[in-house]
Amino acid sequence: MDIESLRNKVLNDTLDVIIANLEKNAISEAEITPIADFVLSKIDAVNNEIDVSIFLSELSAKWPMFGNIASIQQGENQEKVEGEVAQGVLNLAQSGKIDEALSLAKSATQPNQL
Amino acid sequence: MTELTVEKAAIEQKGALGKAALTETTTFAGARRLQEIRKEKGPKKAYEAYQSVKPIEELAGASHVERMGIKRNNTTGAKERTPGTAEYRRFEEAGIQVGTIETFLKEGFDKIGDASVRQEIIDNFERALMLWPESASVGPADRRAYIEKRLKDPKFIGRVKHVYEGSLKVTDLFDGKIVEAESAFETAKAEEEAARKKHEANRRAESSVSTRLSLFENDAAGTPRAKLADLERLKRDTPTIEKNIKDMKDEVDDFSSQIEMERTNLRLVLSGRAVTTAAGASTIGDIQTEIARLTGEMRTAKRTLAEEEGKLERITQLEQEKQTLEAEKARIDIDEVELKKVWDAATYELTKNRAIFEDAKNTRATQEDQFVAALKNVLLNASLDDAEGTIKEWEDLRTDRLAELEGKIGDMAAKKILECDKRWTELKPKSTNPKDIKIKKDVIEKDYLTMLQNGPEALMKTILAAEVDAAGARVFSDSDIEHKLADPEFINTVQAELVSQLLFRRMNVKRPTETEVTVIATSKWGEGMIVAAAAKDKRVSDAFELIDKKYGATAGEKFRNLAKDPKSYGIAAGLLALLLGAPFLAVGAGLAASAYSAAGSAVNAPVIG
Repeated sequence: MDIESLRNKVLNDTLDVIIANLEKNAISEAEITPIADFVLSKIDAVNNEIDVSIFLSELSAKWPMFGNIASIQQGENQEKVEGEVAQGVLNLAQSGKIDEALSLAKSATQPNQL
Repeated sequence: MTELTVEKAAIEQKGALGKAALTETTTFAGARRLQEIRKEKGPKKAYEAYQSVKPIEELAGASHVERMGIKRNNTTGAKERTPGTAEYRRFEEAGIQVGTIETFLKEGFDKIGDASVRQEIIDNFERALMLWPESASVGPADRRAYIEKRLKDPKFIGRVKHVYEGSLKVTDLFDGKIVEAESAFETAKAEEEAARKKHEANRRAESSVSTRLSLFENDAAGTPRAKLADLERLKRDTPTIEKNIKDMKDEVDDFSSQIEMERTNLRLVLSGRAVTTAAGASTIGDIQTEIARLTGEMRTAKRTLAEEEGKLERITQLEQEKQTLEAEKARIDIDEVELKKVWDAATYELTKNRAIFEDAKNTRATQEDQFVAALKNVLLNASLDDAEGTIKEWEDLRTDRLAELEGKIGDMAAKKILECDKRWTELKPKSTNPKDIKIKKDVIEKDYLTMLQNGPEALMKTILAAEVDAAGARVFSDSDIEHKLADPEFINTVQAELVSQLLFRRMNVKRPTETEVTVIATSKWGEGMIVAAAAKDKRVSDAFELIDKKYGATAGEKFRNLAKDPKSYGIAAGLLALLLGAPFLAVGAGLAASAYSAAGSAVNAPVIG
């Protein structure tokens, strides 16, 4: 996914949350303005999935209604990293680099590794 | 009533919605707006639509105001406006308006220092709101609260900025035309003045020459003026003068000879000779005395000669003077024509350029009036736009919501009609077995008669009006029912099913009489259904083909005539069953089962009770 598509996905996901909350009257229109200001001030700094996680963490810290998509994004990132780590551990093990493989596996299990 | 009909009834009252538009906090419209912007322009634009207004740093109002006025200081180039003039009042008003608007835009409504100006803005906004009838149902306090909220809303501030920028473009206060017109006017004025002065100088010269020339003419009474009289007199005296000149010349010559002779005598006496005259011997003294006398006489004669000769010269002088004056007068008259032409042309140019300059000034005055008027209307127009936008948004929402509710109510009504079999059947209490379904003959008979007497629509009305919710309230209002029955699409959807299901149930209870078949066959709805059913089922259309042509050409005619003929009524009744009822014989079990599907029972044909 290119950067523009990634940013649009983030914008659309967060907009979906806002729209859903508007529809159930959980927020007012006036509350969108500070969110819009925050989103527009940060979105151009989003260049990869790590940035997305950071962005969503900050967003959900300010407005908890975004907590769900922040968690989902974090989960997706975790899965992706874990998948990459697993492949790395396997490659290292096959190459006889057992210590490195163990070290990598250990790092992947550390909390807040993202 | 159900929630849907309650909501629909509420929305149908426009005033109530107007109140909602101005006072309620529902956010449905906001959600829809966000979705629409995202759909049309993308997610970033949707966020930008809600972004707080960015600080407004550059507003061009002051520079536009500074352009007002016409006169400039020759040294500094700054505009010079005279207090008390209309131009100055416009300048002041524009400055006040720009100050108010830019304070509003840069610092916010509360920073407008003059409380009366703030109040006027609120009053104007309220007037704008009251142009929409929806606002009338909102109380003054709610209106004020809404207005004060809007005046601080970034979207409203954005509207003001937009209108303000438009007002700065409403007219062109460019000075080029005025400067050009003024320069042309000043040039024309100088040229006219120069031409006028030349012309006046020529006129003065002409006057002087004419005055001098008039001395060579007669006066009004025909009496010659001085120089003419002089000239005429001299001309008249010329012979005398010429004679006098001749005489005087002779005298001078004579005296000259005598003097010469006396001088000779004097030389003789001085040399010792005697000179004797008639008076005796002359002495030196005598001779000298005589010479002196003769010289004096000659001098007198010469003076007289000169005087007479002067008279002749005077004639020449006077004639030359007259000729010179006449020549001068002729030249001045020629110059007069040319100078007058030049002056007239310069006067025309001056008049033209003065008009152009005045026109430019008037145009500028009009432009400045327009500019001030546009500035004065900025906040009012933004309020109008805002009120219109809000009301329109809510009207759109109302229309959409009504259509949505009507659709839902319509679907529910159709569902209830299509579930009509529940009216004619009943599952025994606590039973889940379809075999325990009991046919309610009395209801069938009643509905059947309603249909025959008043048509299927009357039956639909009865069915829908009988629908009540758990609380016992009617599900469909009379207006809902009327609305649906007036909808051909709704009728097309449910009528055939209702009639077919009722005929199916009725035929299982009792065979239709000849009259009943006739009523069905000859009614508009019945014939329409028969024709439609015949067209759908080839077996039926084939059967109609076999029926004698004496009963008619079309399926509808044949059926109607069969039903009317006592001999063929049986055939008609059979066909009716085939057309309308029989199709349900095959699917009747499914129909009944579907009616009770909520009970989760097996599917079987119902028993006739």
